[in-house]
Amino acid sequence: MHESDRDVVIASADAALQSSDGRLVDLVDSLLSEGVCLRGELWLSVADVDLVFAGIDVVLCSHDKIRARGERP
Amino acid sequence: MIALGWTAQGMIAPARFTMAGQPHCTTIAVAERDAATPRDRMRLQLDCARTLPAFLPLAPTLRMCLDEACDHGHRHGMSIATRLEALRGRVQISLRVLWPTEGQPAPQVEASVPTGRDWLVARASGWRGTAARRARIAGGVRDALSTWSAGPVSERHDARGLQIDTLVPSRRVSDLDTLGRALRCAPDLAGAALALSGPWPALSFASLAGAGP
Repeated sequence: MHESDRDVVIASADAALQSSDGRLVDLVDSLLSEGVCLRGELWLSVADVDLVFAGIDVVLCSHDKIRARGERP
Repeated sequence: MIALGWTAQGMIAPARFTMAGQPHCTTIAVAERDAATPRDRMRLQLDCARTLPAFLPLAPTLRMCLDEACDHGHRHGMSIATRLEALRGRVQISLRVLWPTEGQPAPQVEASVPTGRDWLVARASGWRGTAARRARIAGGVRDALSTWSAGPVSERHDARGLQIDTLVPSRRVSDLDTLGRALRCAPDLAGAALALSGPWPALSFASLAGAGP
């Protein structure tokens, strides 16, 4: 990873995933929801904690805790 | 088992991955403990993209079991195979542009403006200036990218900036520094912060048109 006078950082995908540089964190976060989406239910994550967005309600709980109780998220 | 995506029929992946064949494609999955978070799944998808000639990734935020992905592979195998062929030998390069922080979160207006109307007019003028500056930055990025890549481009805007992804032959990854130099020299990008990264799986080019749930 290297920089210059113009604020441009160049990083491999592996380095970007491990980086705490705000630009690379933004880049990775933008890609996380890309790819084939088969359903409307997506596990949106914040700081690597899975949340699920259902309508206008946000479930602020790890999906693992919900499923451990036998409830549907 | 958590599904990561699909590859062509008959492909062999490293031992940590599970391969399940369908008539026109192969579903790739890993143990659930290895794919607990979206970033975990993305790291594994990077491995798939590196070792397989063609790989169609599921969205890392999507937690899908192997059985469901195999079922999808059966029902939409032809679409998946077509998409895999289009992605063969190509990887994604991603460019993130963060807008200049000047004028954020809103343009500054002189406190000495005589009336509220004048303040609103000055504020609107500031917003127009911000929009014009962002348009110049976006145009400069597109120009630098278009001279480096002739591949398809995906562009997304948000409040913080702009993300542009392009699909290129795998061999172009070694030439990423050339694009970096072009971005550093581009005249319209002053004040913007840029990040250039790759190769990624074709996450922004994975859409299966007409192959819904």
